[in-house]
Amino acid sequence: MKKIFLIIFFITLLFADSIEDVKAKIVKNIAHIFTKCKVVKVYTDDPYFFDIFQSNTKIKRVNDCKDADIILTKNSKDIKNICKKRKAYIFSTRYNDYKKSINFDLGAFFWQKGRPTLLINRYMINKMHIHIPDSYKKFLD
Amino acid sequence: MKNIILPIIFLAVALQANTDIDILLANLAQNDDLSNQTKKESAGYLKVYTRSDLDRMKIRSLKELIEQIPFIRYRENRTGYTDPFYTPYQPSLSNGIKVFIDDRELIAPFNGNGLQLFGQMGLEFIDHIEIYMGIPSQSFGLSPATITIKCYTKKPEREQTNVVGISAGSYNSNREYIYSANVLSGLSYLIYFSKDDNNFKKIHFNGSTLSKNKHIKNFYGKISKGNLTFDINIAKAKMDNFMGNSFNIDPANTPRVDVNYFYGGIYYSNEENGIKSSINYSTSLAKAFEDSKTILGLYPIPTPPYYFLYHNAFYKLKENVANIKLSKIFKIKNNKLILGLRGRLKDFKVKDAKLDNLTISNTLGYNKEAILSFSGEDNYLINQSNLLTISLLLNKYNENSVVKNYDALSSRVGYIYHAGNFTSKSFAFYGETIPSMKVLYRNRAIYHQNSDPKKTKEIALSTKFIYKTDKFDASLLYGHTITKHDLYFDGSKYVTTKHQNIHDLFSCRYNYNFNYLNKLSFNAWVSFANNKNLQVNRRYKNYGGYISLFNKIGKFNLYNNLVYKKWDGVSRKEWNFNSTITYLYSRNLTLFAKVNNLFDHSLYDNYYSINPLTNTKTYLSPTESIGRSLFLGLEYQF
Repeated sequence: MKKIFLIIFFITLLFADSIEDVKAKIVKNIAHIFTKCKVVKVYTDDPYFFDIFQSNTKIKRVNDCKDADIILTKNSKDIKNICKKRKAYIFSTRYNDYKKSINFDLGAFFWQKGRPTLLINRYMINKMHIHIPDSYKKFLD
Repeated sequence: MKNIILPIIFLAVALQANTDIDILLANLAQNDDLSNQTKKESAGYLKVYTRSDLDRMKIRSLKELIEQIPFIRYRENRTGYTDPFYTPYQPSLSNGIKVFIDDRELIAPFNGNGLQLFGQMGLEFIDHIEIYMGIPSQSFGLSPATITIKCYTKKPEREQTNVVGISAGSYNSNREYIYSANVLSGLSYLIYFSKDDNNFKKIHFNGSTLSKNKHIKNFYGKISKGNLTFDINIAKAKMDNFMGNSFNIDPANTPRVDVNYFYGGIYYSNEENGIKSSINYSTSLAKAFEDSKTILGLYPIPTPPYYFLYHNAFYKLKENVANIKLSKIFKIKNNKLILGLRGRLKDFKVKDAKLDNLTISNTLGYNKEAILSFSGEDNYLINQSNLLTISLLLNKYNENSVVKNYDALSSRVGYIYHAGNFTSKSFAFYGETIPSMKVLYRNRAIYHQNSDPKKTKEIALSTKFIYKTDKFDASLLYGHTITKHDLYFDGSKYVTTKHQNIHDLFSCRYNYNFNYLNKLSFNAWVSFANNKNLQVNRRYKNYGGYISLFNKIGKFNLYNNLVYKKWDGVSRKEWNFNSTITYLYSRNLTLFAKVNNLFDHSLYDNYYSINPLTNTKTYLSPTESIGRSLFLGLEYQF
């Protein structure tokens, strides 16, 4: 019986995060599909993601999109124009914006139908010859 | 013990097969649920149904949630409307359950409570629901209620979609709905329309067919920009009134009421300066008809034989409510002070009322109630572990015509202690409730009384202990309530009781999160009543509880729920099993199957009708407010 409770206890320990931590982990996990950097440099203009840098040391905020490994934006087209020379991984944080930017956004991470939604743009993945881990293939759009 | 624990462990371990990203997304959905922005822990004892819960339950109406609230049971009155405190021939308890949609209180001016109309409506435009038990904060509504249900509409920023859904099931019931919600150039909108054919098992009695079928079309729209929100709600309903009011339960045709409802409101909310204000208006027109093969009713008249027997009745009832509200939050050192001023104007008009060929008019002239209300609430944070909350509500009711004016006071003191994983909440409440306009009107106009019933007074003491970790929370609740001057109908008029009605309530709850995709919820409760107004059977006991399990296995979402209840005076125990299986075919298409009350074993209702001429009771065979039903449906987003 003791063993049983120990197993429950360890399962219990697996999960304990603040909202900022969870958002940061999701962004870090997405970024690690495309980059091997230990510390991921993130540029964002969406206030929803401003707090993700508080506790997670493995992602770092940059103020210039040209320095970023991954960009989280509400306005992909403007960002694309600003960061023309940089091979930036752009993730949109609005569904409408993503649909308009399907030719260059790598994906989207946004709230839809009341739940957080992750989409990875199949067209761009094929174009850029990026290998997607099996666990992420269900997010291909 | 092993038989219970081992399957749970195997399930928990098996669920680790869900990938990290799935769990992270589910974790975010739960922890960043909009209820975290709206719920008010200091307001009372709270149970939240998050967006994720409602999605997985696929609930069709509030009916399914009301049945899970401790200490009460879901009931429908003799006309088939939601009324958990229904007692034959007794006035509806106007402060029993109050329902809000965002900041709008659902009100039916004549009956006092909007739950009857909205209790069985579709909820696909609702994001999450908070249920506050035990007379919550007076800052919610204009008068306190034992249970407050707050439904929050979907937030366009969290939707960004268009959805169409259909479902069909038992007794040819079906529902179709469509909604669109998005943000365009800083303007956010939500538009929802549903068409609902809600059919139930018909009962054949005395050669008559009794039906509770309801056909409802409902439109809701909301537009927000900056601090301003404008919303409207239009509903059109055709409802069969079940038993109706005939003396011998023998309607010749199905009693029926057609309702047209309109609501519009403007809301201003500024988080920075703490000001909230709103103005809203609602109007409804109900057309009711019923008849009887023998006698439908008896109408008192001033000349011998002092009553008039009628066989059919028709009337139109128009009701209007206008609300205005202003509140401001002051933050002074460790105090959060909320001051509010509210005004409400209610009126009703009975038109074209006919009992057989006799035209009935409102000779009393009573048809308006104006309420002015002041509320104050202070939350004083003594230190990081101790919070003191004090609130006060003063209502002045101005009734027109000969009906007397009322004043009603309610106040509440609460203490919340929080340290580490442990929290305790304790509240003491005193409140006064006045009779509904329907009671005031009928008492004078129909029962020819020269005075009005007294206010009902209630004292409630309660305490709850909660232990919460990231994985689970467990709580124990005790409540003690004393009511005095309970309103009742003695056969010839509305009066109030002389003695106390005492309730002792115990509840325990346990919620366990396996991993955000899978969770377990358990509740058990018992209530003891001592109604000193009763000559016999003054002490009685009810008990019950539920267990709910939410699981995600691959592309399937599973919701299983079992409600158990034992109710004093009801011969059958309730074993109400509900289940929903949702198949996520793709990101855009969801299919589901849902069953309510699979064992067809819910509590019986013992409906009856009294014939005052012969002093006989006609009992309807035991029937249930919650019947067995099965639905299949799909939802598609585009």
